[in-house]
Amino acid sequence: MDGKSCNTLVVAFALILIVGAILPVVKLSATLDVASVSQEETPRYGGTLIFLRISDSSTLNPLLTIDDASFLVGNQIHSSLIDRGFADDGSMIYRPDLAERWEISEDGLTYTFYLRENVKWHDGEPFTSADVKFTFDLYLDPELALPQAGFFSVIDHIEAPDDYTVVFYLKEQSPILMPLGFAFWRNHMVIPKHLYEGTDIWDNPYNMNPIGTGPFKFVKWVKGDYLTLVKNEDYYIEGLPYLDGIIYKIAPSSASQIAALETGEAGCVNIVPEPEVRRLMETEGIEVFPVFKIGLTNYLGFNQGTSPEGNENPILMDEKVRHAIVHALNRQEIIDLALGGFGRVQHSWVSSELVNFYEPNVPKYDYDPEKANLLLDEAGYPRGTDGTRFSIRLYYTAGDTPRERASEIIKSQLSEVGITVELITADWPTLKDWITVKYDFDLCWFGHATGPDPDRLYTYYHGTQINPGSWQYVRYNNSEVDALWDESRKTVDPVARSDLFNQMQMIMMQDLPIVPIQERVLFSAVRSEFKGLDDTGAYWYSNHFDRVWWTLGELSEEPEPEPIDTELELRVDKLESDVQGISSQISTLTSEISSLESQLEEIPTEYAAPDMTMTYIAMLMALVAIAISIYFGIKAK
Amino acid sequence: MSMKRYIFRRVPQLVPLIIFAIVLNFTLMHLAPGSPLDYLIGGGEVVPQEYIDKLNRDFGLDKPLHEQLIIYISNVFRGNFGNSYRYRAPVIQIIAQRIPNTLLLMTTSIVFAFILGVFLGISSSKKPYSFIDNIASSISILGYSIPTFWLGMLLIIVFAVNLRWLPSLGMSTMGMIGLTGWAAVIDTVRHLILPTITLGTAYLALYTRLTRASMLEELRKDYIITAWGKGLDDRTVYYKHAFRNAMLPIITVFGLNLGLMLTGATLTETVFSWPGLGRLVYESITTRDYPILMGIFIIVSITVVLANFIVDILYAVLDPRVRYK
Repeated sequence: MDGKSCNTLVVAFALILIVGAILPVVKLSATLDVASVSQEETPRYGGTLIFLRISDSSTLNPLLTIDDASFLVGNQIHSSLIDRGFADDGSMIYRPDLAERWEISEDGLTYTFYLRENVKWHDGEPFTSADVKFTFDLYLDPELALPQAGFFSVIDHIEAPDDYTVVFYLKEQSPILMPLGFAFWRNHMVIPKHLYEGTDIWDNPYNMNPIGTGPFKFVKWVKGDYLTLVKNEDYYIEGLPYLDGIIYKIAPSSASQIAALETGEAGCVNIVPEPEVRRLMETEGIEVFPVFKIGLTNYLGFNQGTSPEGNENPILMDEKVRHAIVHALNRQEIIDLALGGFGRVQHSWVSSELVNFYEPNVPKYDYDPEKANLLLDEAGYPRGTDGTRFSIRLYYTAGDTPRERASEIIKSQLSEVGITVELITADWPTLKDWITVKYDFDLCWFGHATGPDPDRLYTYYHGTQINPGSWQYVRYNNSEVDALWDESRKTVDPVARSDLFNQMQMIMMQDLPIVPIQERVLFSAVRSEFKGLDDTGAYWYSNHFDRVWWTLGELSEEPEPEPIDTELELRVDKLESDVQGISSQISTLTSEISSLESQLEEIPTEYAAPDMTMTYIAMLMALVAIAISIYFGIKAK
Repeated sequence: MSMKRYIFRRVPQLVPLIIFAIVLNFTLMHLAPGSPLDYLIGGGEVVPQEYIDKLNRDFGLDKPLHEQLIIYISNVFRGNFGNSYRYRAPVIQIIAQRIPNTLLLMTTSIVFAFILGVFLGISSSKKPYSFIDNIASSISILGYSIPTFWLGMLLIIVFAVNLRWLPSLGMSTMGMIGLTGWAAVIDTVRHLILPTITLGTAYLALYTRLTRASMLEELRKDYIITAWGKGLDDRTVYYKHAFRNAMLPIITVFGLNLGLMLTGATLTETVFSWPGLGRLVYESITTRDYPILMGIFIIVSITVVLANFIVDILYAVLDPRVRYK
């Protein structure tokens, strides 16, 4: 190779890079018949959904773990007694899954579930109430130490009077057993008794090779890389699922996930980072929708408590100082500039999405630097000669760019009132150690989600939860709140219970152990060829994808599947959100089907990695050839 | 002394070296704050204490550090590398799955970088400070300075998203039923192109500069003038005489790079979702999956030590002047 041709090559490569970088998306002619797709409402059969996510599942036995990545997949393989859903007006309802209908006795101590009768496990065995009793008995077994046992501790014992009826007997009334127990967003799924009875549940090989009753069957799992599911032909709802299969692929970089979505190599991305949302909303062929209604909050915690483990900050223990700090923050600005601009400022520790529980009259702390200055002076922290009053440390997780940016903004906002902020970051396990074990911090970024019921935050704010390693890292200890909370756990009447939470909010927002910043909205992105995902919610809810369909599939002669029966559902909450404003914004955006060549070539039923032998042989041969030519090239005659 | 005696003397030295690496890695890893449980116990859960205790017992974390170390080393010598905390599957299985993928990527990248780099370097050395030389040098510096992940994303945007010529992620096309034979090779090659360019660019820069410098030094020497005087043609002088002697430092660097084979592709693997060992290291660090980390450290230690050893031997083969005392 001589210099000239080398030179040309280099220049050519540089040109390609430059041209390609500024070239708009090349749209080769779409040979697709647009009319047949864009207005299509009849679901079609076929297609494989390729679902990208950042972290892998740890196990496919839903009883053994609490990590979301495992449940994401588990919810397609397994079914639970009931599912969650949303009615047309946005309120949350329960939907039947394995249980066709259910009854709660007058005294609230007996829950009876009537099960579907034509359900089979993926290995062909029939599903009966014995499986349900077996599964939930495992939760009640103290020796097994299952991580989710706490949700069912109120159950005394379980009976299965016949093959299709299960009865749960409770020790006492519990208003949270349905929303946070049976219908929790992760769904408590049923595992097969005939495969697990008599075995050690932790070591059972079916944990990695699960048999369930769900719409998709497990095929293969290459850890850290991909996981394949295939359609369950014997699914108990006739005519479902529509898809041929689902492939979960690990793509650790959000940027490459989005690129793959744009090229069509992937069908769905789990979570889109907020800064990318607007751009994706405007991209053809991609739909972005919020997966909200879980009361997800971005907030700052104050180190304002005290405990035997020490590490207190006397400055922050003064209520006036905390009030002042919140007055000094322009939270709307933080949201707009750093947190993506979506989601409202949150005023209470309960998100306003939970309409039944949110107390709109909580003390609010508007952006008011003058008041902040006043309060700080009153509290006894005057400005020094250099204009500063005191210094605090703000912690956030490394790599979390939105929070990093938000922290910078906070730093500048607080410096206006004379507070110097030092920003400190570390990876999550380290941060968790500093904050929840050593209490070595002043302010810290955190997030929590209530789901449908604020009782979920018991571990964050109840006095009994103050323990190194727990989530009560703010060490908030108010006996009045504790008493109200305990009472709420015994109150079944929703109105009375809601009132108790209102009182709690009034007290807590005066005490202000935390600064709620944002009612966070999460977005998922899907290629427009896949319909039905926004109903299931691609992230937090992970209901069955049995009604997800591919617009490029085939129509079928099969009868239409039974519609989702809304009459049987129990109305629990009315969850309103003005993020619905965002969702109507999204639905008015049109998206055309992007060019066909970005589609998968076939409709395969199973994904298997290519056979690598030929590649390795070719590789070896090439290396040998190179070595030989180098040797002969250099060898002296 | 002869080669054989040298080998016999060196090999026993490798074992204590590797053990030392194991002990050091183990200790440092456990000293980092946080525990493997942090990943398994998510956010805001009511997790019963019994569950936490059980996990600590399963993972052996309830024992003091030195006891854990001794148990671990004795297991390793029996071939048991333990189970991953995250997956509860044997460490060896998980690592073994990933090694071929990384080797494929790294080998391709380094060979690509080596061959192209050497050619560019030799071409540059023929006419120092000429136009070709300047171009090659500029590219070298550019290639060395460009961050890998940035280059990777840029290539994805240009070639995958905008031009749709090449796939954007993974090692094989999703949704394809198992391909065999040449179809599999082509599919893999298509997926290999962008990551190879990304990863290879930095090495390319390295080899170009190195070759150029080494060659320039050789070409100054007397025997080269003799060769020109004898009327030998370009190819003979440059390749058969000069390059043969200039090769030594290049081989050293190549050997060092060999040691990095297994984990040097972390950033590229992340950007391209390539299921390799580098990515496994990163994931295991953030989830504090100690058994996998230890397993990888051991393998990498062995690889690095072996690679250096092989380079030493190669030196003796290539340079008759080198004899080991």
